[in-house]
Amino acid sequence: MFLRDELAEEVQGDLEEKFYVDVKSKSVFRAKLNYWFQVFNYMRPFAFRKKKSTQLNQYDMFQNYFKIASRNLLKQKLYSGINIAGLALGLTCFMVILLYVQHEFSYDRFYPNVQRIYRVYQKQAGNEFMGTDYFAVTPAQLARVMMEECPEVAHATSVQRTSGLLSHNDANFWQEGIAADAEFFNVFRVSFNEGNPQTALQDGRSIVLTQTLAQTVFGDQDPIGKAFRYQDVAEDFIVTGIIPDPPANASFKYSFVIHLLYSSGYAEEIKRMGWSNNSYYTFFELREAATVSDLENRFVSLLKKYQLPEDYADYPFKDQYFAQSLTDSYFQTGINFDLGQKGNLKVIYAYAAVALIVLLLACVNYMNLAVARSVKRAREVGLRKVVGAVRTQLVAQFLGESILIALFALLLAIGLTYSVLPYFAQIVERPVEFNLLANPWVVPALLVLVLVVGLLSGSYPAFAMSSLKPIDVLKTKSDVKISGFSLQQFLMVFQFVVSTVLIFSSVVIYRQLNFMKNKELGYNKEDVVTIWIRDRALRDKLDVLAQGWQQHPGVLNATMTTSLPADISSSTLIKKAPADKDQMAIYQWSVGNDFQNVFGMELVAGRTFSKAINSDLLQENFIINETAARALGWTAEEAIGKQFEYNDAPRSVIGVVKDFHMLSMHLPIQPLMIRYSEEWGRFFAIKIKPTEINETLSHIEDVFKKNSIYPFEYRFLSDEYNKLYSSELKLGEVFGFFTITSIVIASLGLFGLAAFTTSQRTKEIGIRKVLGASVQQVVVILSQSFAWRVLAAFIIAVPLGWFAMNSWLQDFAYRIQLTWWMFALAGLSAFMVAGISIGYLSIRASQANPVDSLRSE
Amino acid sequence: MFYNLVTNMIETRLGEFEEVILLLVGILGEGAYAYRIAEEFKSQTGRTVSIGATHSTLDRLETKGFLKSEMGSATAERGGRRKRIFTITALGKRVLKESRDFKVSLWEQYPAFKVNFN
Repeated sequence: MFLRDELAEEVQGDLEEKFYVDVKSKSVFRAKLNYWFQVFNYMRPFAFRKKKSTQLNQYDMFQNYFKIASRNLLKQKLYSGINIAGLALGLTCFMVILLYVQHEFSYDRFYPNVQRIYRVYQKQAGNEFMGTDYFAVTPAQLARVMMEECPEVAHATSVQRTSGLLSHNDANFWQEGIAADAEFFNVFRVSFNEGNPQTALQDGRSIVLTQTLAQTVFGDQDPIGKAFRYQDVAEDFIVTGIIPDPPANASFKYSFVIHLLYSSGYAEEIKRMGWSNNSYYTFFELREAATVSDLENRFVSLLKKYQLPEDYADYPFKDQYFAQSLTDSYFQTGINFDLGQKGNLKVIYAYAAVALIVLLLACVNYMNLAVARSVKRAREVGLRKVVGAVRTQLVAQFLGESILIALFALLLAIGLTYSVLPYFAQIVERPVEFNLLANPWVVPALLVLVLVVGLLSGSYPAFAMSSLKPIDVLKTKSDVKISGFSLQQFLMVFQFVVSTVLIFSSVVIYRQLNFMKNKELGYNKEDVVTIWIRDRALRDKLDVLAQGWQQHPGVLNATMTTSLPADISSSTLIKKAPADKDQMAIYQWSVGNDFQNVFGMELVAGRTFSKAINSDLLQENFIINETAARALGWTAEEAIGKQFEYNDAPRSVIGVVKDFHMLSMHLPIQPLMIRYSEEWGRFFAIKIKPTEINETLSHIEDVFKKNSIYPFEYRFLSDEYNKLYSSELKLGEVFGFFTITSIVIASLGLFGLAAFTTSQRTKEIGIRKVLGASVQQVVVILSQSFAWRVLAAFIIAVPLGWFAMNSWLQDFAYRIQLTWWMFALAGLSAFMVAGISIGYLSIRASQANPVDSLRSE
Repeated sequence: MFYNLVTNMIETRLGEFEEVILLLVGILGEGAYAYRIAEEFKSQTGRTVSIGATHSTLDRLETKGFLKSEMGSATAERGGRRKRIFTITALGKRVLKESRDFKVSLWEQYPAFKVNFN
């Protein structure tokens, strides 16, 4: 029934009464007929359901909005295409970065107690190393002492990284794992697939495997209780538990966990008095109600209690311990010897900022084009107002339209993101996944984003349009100029400022990367094969190996070192004279025979090491670099034969090597001493001929295989060198990506705007041509205003870009100078991009036959 | 002011059909509900009218404040459904009276009938 509810009863009653009265006097058919006649007579306005009637009305209006919106979109395909494409690009950038940021902030959060997991790090004020005096390592005893004496601590564990060869029967697996004490699984709560976390690390012969490792080694067999050999330990390790693989967002990953007691070093260390050997990471679980600051205060008294005076007799640094939550420590860079993967907040913020700016650019595009297009729709607005639309309705209509377009763009952007994300993940080296349902907030967040973008980009056109006066719009024949053209200009200038700054940044980053790649390093990084020594037994076999390698004509020289020259990361203290109180920090590097021939360093004075000289072998003689000589107060020539004090014994300088870049370009060259020692080598370095590299490499592998059961892996020194700058490389690539996107968006916008203004001026052009203007003159007239705006953008962009990139470059000790041509290049590219789109349009417009544009009026 | 309103709007506020319906409500008293009024209208005037049309007018008169209505008690004869009983309000009575007075005064001014009337 269509009747209002409150009427239904009485009306039905009335009708029924009449029906029965009629039945008595007339035929049933007549009575029924009359009944229905009465029913139809009730179809009067007063009787209808009120709510339904209003709904019907608005539904029509909405339908009209949709119809007009879709007609508008279809009618102006170019503008709608530009609009949606631009917005989709901007949204894609934003979504990619959103997913990346979300991934970065998800690190380690899979531990159920992550909010209470902390680590201890220390500051050794003044003991500057690799540019910082913070260290992530602590003494072995700290974890036990914290458990015993700090009421704030629930569990504490000592952790070390370990890597080595796991052997089961005859199968060998090189694996990286964690060595920890029995508390490890109390702090890092992992649900065991098999085994008991409380007893899994009972003694030094237990080993817990991850699922994947267990699968590779044992296949379908039950691994629990199986025996393993690890490294050169003479006894078997017994598998006591199976845990899931650490997820992609674990800051440190491992394939097995063993007890620290596997090596005798820890057993001795933990018994020792004094806290001087910092080589263990300490993690702990804070109790519910406890605070970190209480604990940090307690550290002061613990240090007083346990640090022995003799530990620090000739050690001038005062240690200070701090606690930091696991999730914070993921973003903590600048701590020496830190464990696991690190995220860089600065980089994340930079990416997020740029992504937001690109999105803003896209919104600006929309606004610009919408304002331009709206001139065409002014008459629609006028008519709507005349037939009774109120302002809020018009605002709602235009906002709704832009939200609709944003929604459309979002769908496109989701597709784009899906296809772009794998490449982005590769660039940033993070397993960023596109999973809309992984987080419950992603879908609502995207909808809110669409709403915000739609409102943001539609607000100006909506309000500008709805304020039009119908009389102005409807009475004139020609199109109306609406106010807000100055805003349009401003927005366009803004777009080009951003584009120019981004181009400039890309140029600078690219130049700096190139600079670091090609800088004279002081050694030769090309054609050097490096092998990380995993098999310690090989250290004693350098001579055998070198001889074997050198049998091949492709191998020139071979040596062994403690670190690669690109990244010498060990330092110690020396004194200029035995009586001196002041000590000097100096980096140290142990090299084997022939090191100079392999790396090609240049000696400024003196001689290199020789196997034949006994005092070289006894480490009485050292080679230093020029910086060290200067720091000790000598010139290179003076230094030869001079002595300094190291480890309570005098050492002689036999040679001075020309300064080479022993650290990344972020840091200046430091004093360095080089000694002759083949005891602690960690790398073999082999200089080869640049021809027939593959054959040479297979020869090197053959010789290696004859001497070791370990897997053979090599890297080129130049690749290792490039790895130092991986974060800069990433930054460069991501910036390149953003730059291209922003240029595309800006030029899309410009093209749309230019296409619009030119079409507005077709008649003017026609008249000009009839009156004798040449094609060139018309082109100049048309491009003038755009050229001015690009120029204005350039002038604003120069100081911005200079400031941003100058502060980025401050992170490098060796950096390029910002020069005028970089700005010029950026400005010129922006100008060219603008020029191409405007030029194309204005040439097309100026070549048009004036008859076509003037004929019809 | 109220007077002004009424006199100005007599014609729009109380049409001929409305006036008859209003009067019928007054005549029927307790038994004034839509069907009954429609029947009464038919028997008094000889013209048929649908219940819906009657109801619509009743509704309009109620909105104008000349009638008020309430649901009566249920009776078995119409399937237990209740009737809406309409009664004239004081305003309704006054409007009827004014309408009559207005017409009477018009009749009195009409010379051709003056004699007949007196």
